[in-house]
Amino acid sequence: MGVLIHIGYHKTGTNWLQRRFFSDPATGYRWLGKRPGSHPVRRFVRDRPLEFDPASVWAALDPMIAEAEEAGLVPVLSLERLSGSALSGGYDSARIADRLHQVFPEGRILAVVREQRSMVVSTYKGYVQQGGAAPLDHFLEGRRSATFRVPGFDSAYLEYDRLIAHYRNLFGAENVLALPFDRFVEDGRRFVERIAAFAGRPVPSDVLDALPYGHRENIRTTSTLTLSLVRRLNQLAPPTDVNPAPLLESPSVARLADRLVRRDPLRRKSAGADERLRRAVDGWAGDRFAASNARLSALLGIDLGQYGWTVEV
Amino acid sequence: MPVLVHIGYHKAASTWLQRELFVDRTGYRWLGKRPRSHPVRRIVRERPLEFDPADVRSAFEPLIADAEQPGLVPVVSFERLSGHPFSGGFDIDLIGERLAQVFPDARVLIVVREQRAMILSTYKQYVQVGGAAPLQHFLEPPVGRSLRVPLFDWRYFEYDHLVRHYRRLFGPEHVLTLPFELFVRDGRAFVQRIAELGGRPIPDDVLETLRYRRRSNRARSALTIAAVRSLNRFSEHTELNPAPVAEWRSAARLSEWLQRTEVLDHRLTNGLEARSQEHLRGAVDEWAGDRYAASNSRLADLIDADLAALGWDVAT
Repeated sequence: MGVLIHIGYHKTGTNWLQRRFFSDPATGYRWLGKRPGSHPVRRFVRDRPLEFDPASVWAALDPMIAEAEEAGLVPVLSLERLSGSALSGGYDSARIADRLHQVFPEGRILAVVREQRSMVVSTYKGYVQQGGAAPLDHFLEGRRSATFRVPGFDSAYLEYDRLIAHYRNLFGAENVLALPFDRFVEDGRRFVERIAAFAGRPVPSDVLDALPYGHRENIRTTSTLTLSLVRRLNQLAPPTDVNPAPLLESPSVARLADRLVRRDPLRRKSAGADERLRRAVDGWAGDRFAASNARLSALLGIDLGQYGWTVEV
Repeated sequence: MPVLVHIGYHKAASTWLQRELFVDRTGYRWLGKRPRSHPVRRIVRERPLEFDPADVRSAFEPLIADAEQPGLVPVVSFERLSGHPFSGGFDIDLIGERLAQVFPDARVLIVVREQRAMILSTYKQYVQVGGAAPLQHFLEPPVGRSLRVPLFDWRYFEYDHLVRHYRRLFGPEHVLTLPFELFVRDGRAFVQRIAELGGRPIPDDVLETLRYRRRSNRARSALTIAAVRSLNRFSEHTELNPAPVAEWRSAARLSEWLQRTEVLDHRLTNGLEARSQEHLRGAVDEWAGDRYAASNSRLADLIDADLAALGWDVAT
């Protein structure tokens, strides 16, 4: 039985798939998990460039795979970080693909992609929630040195066709399934059926009927206005990897920011700010993804234009 | 004629080699690194799935031909080719592979340096180019579970991994690793070793006239660094400090002026400066402990050098 490898992207129903689909034994699948921090799936990301040992990672995952298979379930490796991180421009996306191929040359790859403008809005909000303090324009087009010292956000990361083509080269086109997130929103049942058909283990009809497609994990996003306050507070909170040198390092400010994110006190007044954020991202995006989306449409055989993606004609 | 590729490290005589050694009269010619569009930067900057070795090679061809025509050894020298310490060398493997694709027959020079001195110098450089984190946070940056943004990673300075990687790619006989301390102790011997690797001995009279003591990029004093770091919080944003509290041009100008004039390094502040420098050095020493001893021992075996005699911490 082959391993199903779900690489993300972030913000594309990953939590739902992990918790509602791949963690329900009735579906015939078993998610191998991602916790604790030392979980072997994280080694695809964390092991240093010249220190990755495929045999050792395989040995660490093997007992989990054997346990799933013994129970007659399809083992699923699912971690959204396997597609890279938008916050650092996917600097390691290709390397992770190569590592996955070294460990699971027979693996089947699932990638879920999402229209870029909504993806960028969601990513920027996530960045602020995780401690980021840069305004949107600096986040999107930050100043870069000539020597590329530290990777930051890079719009090319969201040109999905490149990574999908790389996976197809590595694993074979028939072993890579890429679906737009819009298909999940449109018809969750069909979306799951498609994944199951690809993985070679159909999900029984009664189980498909019972899956909570309407249930969204992490769906509530904090409003733009509240986040603009949180962003300023992040200047005074302890450092994070996205804000390594804040002015102060006050844990109480971090607690306050966290409370604001959860309670979202400015939600009702945020309609204008939300709209401005969307418009700013729209203006920045323009048609920069249109050519890539056209290539992706052709690659997947799906008309992405019908879902509101900008596609070059 | 094989190209000589010098990959750094940073803070290990790169500027001296580029400006004093790889100049026409020695028989070598540095192919440069400017402007920003120089092909050597493409080896670093191009995205993983977009790098085209043949295209990069063809961009180098005219530069190589220019060097070879007068009989000079072409030298690709760019310290960023060994990765970058501010981001833990996240791309060191990839760059090595790209170099092997573009210059499969190259001779490779790697200059390494004892870690404590290297890290102190690296931290000062970090502040000079806009960094605002205190030393402790720079050395032990916050790391998320999913390693979203690569920052400083002490293992970047375990040189043996990279040396082994290059030996695998180019063959052990085509990779020369020299400690920076050898350059400090005996510049002439250091240069002669490089010329042996490059396959073009340097005449004695030229060797005698090289300015071994000339230093560029002198590190700023600890006092200047402390002042500049504070100002960086109010200067223009950079990739090292993406969200300063304010972006005042006056703060940036003051920072530049302090660095240019070194006005804080006055005889009245000598005592304070000495204490600040001692504090920084002591903090790095304590942090480093013996974390590099095992790697240094492997490196010493690999390159057949008595690193302990050069002041390195080597496991026995």
